[in-house]
Amino acid sequence: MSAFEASAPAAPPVPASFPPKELRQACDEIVARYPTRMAACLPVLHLAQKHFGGWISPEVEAGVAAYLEVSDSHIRGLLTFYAMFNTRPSGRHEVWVCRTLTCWLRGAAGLRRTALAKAGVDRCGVESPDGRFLVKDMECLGLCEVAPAVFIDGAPHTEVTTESLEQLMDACE
Amino acid sequence: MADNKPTITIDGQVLAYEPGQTVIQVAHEAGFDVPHYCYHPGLSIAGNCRICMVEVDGWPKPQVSCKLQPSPGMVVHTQSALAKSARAGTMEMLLVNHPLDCPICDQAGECHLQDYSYQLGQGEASSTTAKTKLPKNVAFGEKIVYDAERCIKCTLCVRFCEEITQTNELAMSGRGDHEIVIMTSKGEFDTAYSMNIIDLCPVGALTSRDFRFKSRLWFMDFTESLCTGCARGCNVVTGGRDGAMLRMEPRANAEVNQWWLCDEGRLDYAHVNGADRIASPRIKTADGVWVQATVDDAITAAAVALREAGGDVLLDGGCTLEEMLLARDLAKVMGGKARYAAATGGGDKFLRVDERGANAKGAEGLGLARATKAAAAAVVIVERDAHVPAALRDGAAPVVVFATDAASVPASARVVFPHGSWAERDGLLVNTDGRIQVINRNPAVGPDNIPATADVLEEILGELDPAYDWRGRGGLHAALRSESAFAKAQFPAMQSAGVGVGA
Repeated sequence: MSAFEASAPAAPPVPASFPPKELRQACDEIVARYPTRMAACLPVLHLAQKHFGGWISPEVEAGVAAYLEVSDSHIRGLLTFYAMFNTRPSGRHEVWVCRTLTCWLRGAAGLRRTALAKAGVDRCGVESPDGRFLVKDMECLGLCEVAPAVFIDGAPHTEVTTESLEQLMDACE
Repeated sequence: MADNKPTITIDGQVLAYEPGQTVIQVAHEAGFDVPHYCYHPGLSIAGNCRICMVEVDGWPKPQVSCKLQPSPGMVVHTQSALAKSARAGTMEMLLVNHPLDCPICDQAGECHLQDYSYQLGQGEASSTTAKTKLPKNVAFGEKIVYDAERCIKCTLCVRFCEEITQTNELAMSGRGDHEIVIMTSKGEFDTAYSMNIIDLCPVGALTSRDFRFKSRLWFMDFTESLCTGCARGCNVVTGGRDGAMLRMEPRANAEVNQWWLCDEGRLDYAHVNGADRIASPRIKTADGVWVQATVDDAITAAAVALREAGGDVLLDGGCTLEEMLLARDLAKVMGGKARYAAATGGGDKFLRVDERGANAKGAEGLGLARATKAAAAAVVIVERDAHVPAALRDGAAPVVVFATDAASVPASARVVFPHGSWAERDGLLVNTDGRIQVINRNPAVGPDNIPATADVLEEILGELDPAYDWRGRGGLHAALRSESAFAKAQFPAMQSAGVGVGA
């Protein structure tokens, strides 16, 4: 097989009908806030990610592009640029470990190891085998004065220790 | 300034500018060599490569000149210590993760990264950490290969697909040292202009599958010429080596093709490198055996055969104005008419037009009729089979044939002359808009010592018509100027045969 065949991409996704009925009003309200439809990309993508189980599938991606009248490549660029978007299935609970300086000096490396071990995965960004967790490295979470910081499902936890992190993760369904 | 235009000062020179211009444009117009990667005059301004930084009096930090709007009286320094150190810093940063694989990189010799490294770089890096590993040898469609490690993320290719073709095949993915260019889910290039991103790429990240690993640039000859794939007459540079044409790339001409060239035209040189090229004149003996002949003998034999046969001349729509004029004169001497043939179809809304005969407009100007069905002709000139298909050639039953490829010689031929491909001939072509442009011979392309078709035609004319005076190129151009169709046309100056790599 030639190099070209090996890297031939998958068939193009079928655009999902976006927005679905239940998101229609919220999306239209977001779009109405901005001078251009393109400007609504990020909030609409966040809304879509929340609605569709914590990640943006290729179908949703194409649907959002069509709805906001931007190119697929523009949406792809956004999704890969911003760390808070998931382009593959995420776990039921997202654990963000800060990897910026202050947290790192205060033991974030150990928290990261603990979180990965608890989830049963060997690297960040992949769903745990039981579908329970997605551990992600995050750039500065803005809680340097109470480092190290961890977010679980968007809720901040500060001065986290490996023990308290284990307890927090145990509390997740 | 006489017309009260606002001015800025660049390196001590006071320069007028038009509103909307940026500092790099003013500087380039005045001949200052401000380096740039992500800036391209035909695309939107990104300002992300940071190599074009200049110092502005009164501003504490260096500024990116490609994005900087001039204000009246602004004083800019392109060579100050601050500007130079800013660029050196940018160079160092761009090279932090660059593989420095110049010895195996196709771009070597025409790489901005190399050029600016020589000019601005420092030879040593402060970073001692390992370089990032990124995808290499990624196919972007069938014609282009992407190497993310060499890529400096200037986004020229992404902007080209967004703004020029508006097909959005490419996107920037990720960020920081893991940012790469990706093809979006569509996977294949929808555009017929994809290979322009190879020229746009200032480094060796995008290379042509057709050209890569074929030759080092500095062993090649480059010649300014035209694409003859259709009647648009896109301005190109042909690159050849050891008799073979290796590549073709667009040359900027705001009036014709801007900076671009279609993929089909760019790869349209298979017949130039054909296996069955005719390299010398041949004469068919009385026993029907082909023998090689000198040009002089072949001209004599052709004159004998044509005196006997007489009739029309049928020529390829890609012939030059000079050749067409001579063919018309030759037909007149033989008591016939000159006709031309050319293929049609394949036009689009951008550059390509339906008329494929590169000089069809010129033929019309000379009053040549378009041959659509087979009719007798004593002389046939054929470069491309598509223009003069077998039905027309064989139907003409010519005795004298000028052909590029041996396969296009009809059985009736008695004398055959090699007809250089468009990359090997000099002359004028009239494009679809009536613009007269020049094709130039690339000395490194084609068989050696092919006689120029125009010269041979003139010699034959001289043999047939004792009163004929040799006109040469100057005389032919004078004759063309006296044609009513070209009386008002601007004739371009014939150019030198070659240009250097950097041109």
